[in-house]
Amino acid sequence: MYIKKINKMLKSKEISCKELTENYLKNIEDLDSSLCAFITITKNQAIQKAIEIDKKIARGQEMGLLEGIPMTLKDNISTKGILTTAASKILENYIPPYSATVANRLSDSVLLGKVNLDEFAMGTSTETSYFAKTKNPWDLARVPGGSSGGSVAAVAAGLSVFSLGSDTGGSIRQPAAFCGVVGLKPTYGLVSRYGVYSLASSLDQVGPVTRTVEDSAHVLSAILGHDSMDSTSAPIGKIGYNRALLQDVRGMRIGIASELLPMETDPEVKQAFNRSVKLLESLGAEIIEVKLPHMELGLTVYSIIAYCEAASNLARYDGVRFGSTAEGSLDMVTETRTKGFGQEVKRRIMLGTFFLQGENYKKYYEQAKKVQGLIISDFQKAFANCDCILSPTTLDTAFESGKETEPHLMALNDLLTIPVNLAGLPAMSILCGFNSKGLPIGLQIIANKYGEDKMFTTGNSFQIHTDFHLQRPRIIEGGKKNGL
Amino acid sequence: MDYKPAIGLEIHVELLTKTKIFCGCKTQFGAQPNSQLCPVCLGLPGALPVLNEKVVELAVMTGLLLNSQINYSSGFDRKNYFYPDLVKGYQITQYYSPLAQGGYLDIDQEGTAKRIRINRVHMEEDAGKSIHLSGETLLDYNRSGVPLMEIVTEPDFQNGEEVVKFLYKLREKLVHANISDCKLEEGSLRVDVNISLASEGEPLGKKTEIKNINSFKNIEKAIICEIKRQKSLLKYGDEIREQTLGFNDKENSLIIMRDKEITNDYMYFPEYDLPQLQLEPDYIEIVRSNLPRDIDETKEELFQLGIPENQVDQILKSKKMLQYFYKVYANYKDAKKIVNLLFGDFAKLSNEKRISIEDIALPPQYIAELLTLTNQGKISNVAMKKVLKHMLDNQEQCPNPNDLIEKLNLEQTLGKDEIREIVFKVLRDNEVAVNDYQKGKEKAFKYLMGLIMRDTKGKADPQVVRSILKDNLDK
Repeated sequence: MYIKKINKMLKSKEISCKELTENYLKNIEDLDSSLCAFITITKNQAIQKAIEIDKKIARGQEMGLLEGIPMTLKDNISTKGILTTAASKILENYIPPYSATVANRLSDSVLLGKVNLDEFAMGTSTETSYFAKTKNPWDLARVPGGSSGGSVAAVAAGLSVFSLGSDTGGSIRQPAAFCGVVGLKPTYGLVSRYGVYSLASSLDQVGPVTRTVEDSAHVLSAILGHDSMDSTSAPIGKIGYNRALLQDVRGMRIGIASELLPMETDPEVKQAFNRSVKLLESLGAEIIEVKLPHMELGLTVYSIIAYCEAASNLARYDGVRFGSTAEGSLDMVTETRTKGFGQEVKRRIMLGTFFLQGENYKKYYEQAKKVQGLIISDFQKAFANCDCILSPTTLDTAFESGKETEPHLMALNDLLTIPVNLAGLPAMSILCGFNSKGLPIGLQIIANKYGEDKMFTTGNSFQIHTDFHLQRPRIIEGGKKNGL
Repeated sequence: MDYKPAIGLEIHVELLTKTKIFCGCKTQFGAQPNSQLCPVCLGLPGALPVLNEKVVELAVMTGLLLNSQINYSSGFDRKNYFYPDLVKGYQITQYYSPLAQGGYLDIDQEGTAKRIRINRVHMEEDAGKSIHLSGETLLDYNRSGVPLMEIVTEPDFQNGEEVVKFLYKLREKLVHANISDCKLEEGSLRVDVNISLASEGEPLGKKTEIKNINSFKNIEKAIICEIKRQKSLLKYGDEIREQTLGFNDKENSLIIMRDKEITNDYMYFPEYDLPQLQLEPDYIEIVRSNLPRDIDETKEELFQLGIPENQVDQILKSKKMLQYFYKVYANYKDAKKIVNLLFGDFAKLSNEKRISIEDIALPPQYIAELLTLTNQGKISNVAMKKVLKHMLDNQEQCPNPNDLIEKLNLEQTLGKDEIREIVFKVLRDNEVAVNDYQKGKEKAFKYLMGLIMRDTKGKADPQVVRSILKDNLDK
């Protein structure tokens, strides 16, 4: 079900918001025990909200496009009075006294619940969550990707019309690719970070997870824009993308970089990618070769910068003012953090601390910042000659869960997405095909700063001329009876 | 071996802003614990800092007052360390690129000016307050996020006396410009003293840091103590360890608080939640034009008006007093008389009513009017005191002195003839005193004056009485 369709149905009273919400809640009840996408299901609040919306419709009042739409929020986005755990033991009982700006901007929609993530958004599989491991709706034995695994699984399985995730190195796009949905990371600063648990302040962004490119545009419109509570938010008012959605790709210059199609790319992924490029070419786009010579350094640079910022951003979790507190110990802070943080979080904090200490600051951190500058300038040079850059979103499709993988190999899941964050650029992953196992393959569309409109035009054109996004994952075969 | 001390200061000043440096919470001192908080200054997950413009303005003003170079571009950094009163596990400060650098303040050393160089002026946030009791520590986060300004001097001081002179002068400037109230006792002024010794031509020795001194007097004492201690260590060939010391004023001794040989690594790196601060030259000029007149200039002007030094110092202690003085002076041009009234009778009456002289609510024109009437001889000094008291007693109604004089019948209404009559009567009745005066006893004059003034019931101008009496006695 897409946003515009639901909006029409609600306005024409073809279905009441309460009934719609109850349907979604029923599906969640049926499917989530297998899927494990939800940390908190806000059943009562959702129904209350739905009843309010129905009253409004009955009074004949104006309805916003997202009003009454059932949705979910990643559990690192503060919601006042509702548990927001960051999928960590250290916050298992933390209820924020305020809501994130993005949550407030979506207050007209119906919040179904808070969805799962890798602990503190650190991971690429949603396996590091303290609560549960979310499954991939296309194959329950596989991971949905991470860290926004709950968001994408819920949307892919039809348990949420849209969701908000967060992306620091690929955490919206990579899982979106693994689960065959649209995942968008906006230009740095376009969407407010106030109320979103910081991982790396200079890289984090919140973005929509949806089934279609059009829905992504609607949600992004609703959440973007200057926020006086976030000093890094851009001085931008409202932006609408209707025109972008109506345009086609004739004359669009699309850049392809060999550096974003490395040897390690799975052959089927490469195939799907090439087919996608050909399709866009046939629709009138001009394919241009671009060079991004420093892309291969992205992973290393990211690891240093993101881990350093994370180590500092997670220092506030000491159990003194909130969060689980270890009892009767000599050093309360050490014990709280030792008991409260998972392995991956500890690993990154330790590495981040290491890179900042003494001589290492110059050796690692300052160097990483310099190389980041090179990556930024690579993109700037490329965008002088093209409107969008295309790449596969990931090297391979969703892998099996429970695989004991070395951290540095896990990081490869983000190889193609990371450079985008380092440059503060917008990028979107859309479904562009399936492999022989029936697993989704993602196409990444990258644009220059504030070039979201170009991404929407390209992605939307692609979806109009393909039907991949109409396919449904296996898990909801049973759920179809509830009118999904 | 002759060792010369090199003393430098790290001064923290709490800025007089209504709200905190990164959020809209109040900065009021003495509020209920943990009552001035929000997600930002409590460091809740997801909270972000937003810079308070007023803080920048006050910091720029300070830089200008200290003749520093204001950096058009400055940035914020994180100082990372764990402590329960540091809510985020890091303090937002300006380490790599401070707001202002360089500058100086001259102090008066026996007639000549000694220049104390400033190293930097930067902005940062305060931490919460830890109150240590036996067995537990209480945390009050009201102070978390209060705006601080750090002023660092070069090690140009040679003794405690210079340091105290500097601090008085700095405080005077900052109070006068409404930048801070600089109260050492309340913590809105904090001074860390760094001391090291060096012999002629040699580089500076290891430095020690003295913190938490609660009065200017004790700062001077502590410095004397520490120089002595270091000198004695060096004399016996012992090494000086880099330590943080506290001062026990009762025992006049220093206590070791921390050994700094193992220095903390604060892992400073840029604060990405705040963009680089860019200041336009125009902005700095506007701030400069809003600076109050230089306090030394004001001092000079007050001296020129004939006000003695100790009273000048008194007026300058309070901005309100200074403004009030000028307002009265606008209508009555005898500065000395004004100041005498304000710090004399007025202060006395205020004390009786337990009102602070700073909280004067009487219109300055009325004070000027009172002084004018007294000067013209329309009312006596005694009468003026009566009027003042009435005015203070009835502050809300704001009575006009002229009305009061009429109402209380205080006018010195006696004309010369009436006065002459009274003088004749008194002289007639006090032949002994008259003879004493003619024999040369000056005291007798005073005695006779007293009797006459009493009989006139305050309605006679004493100057007129005096001249009439003298005329008659000299006949």
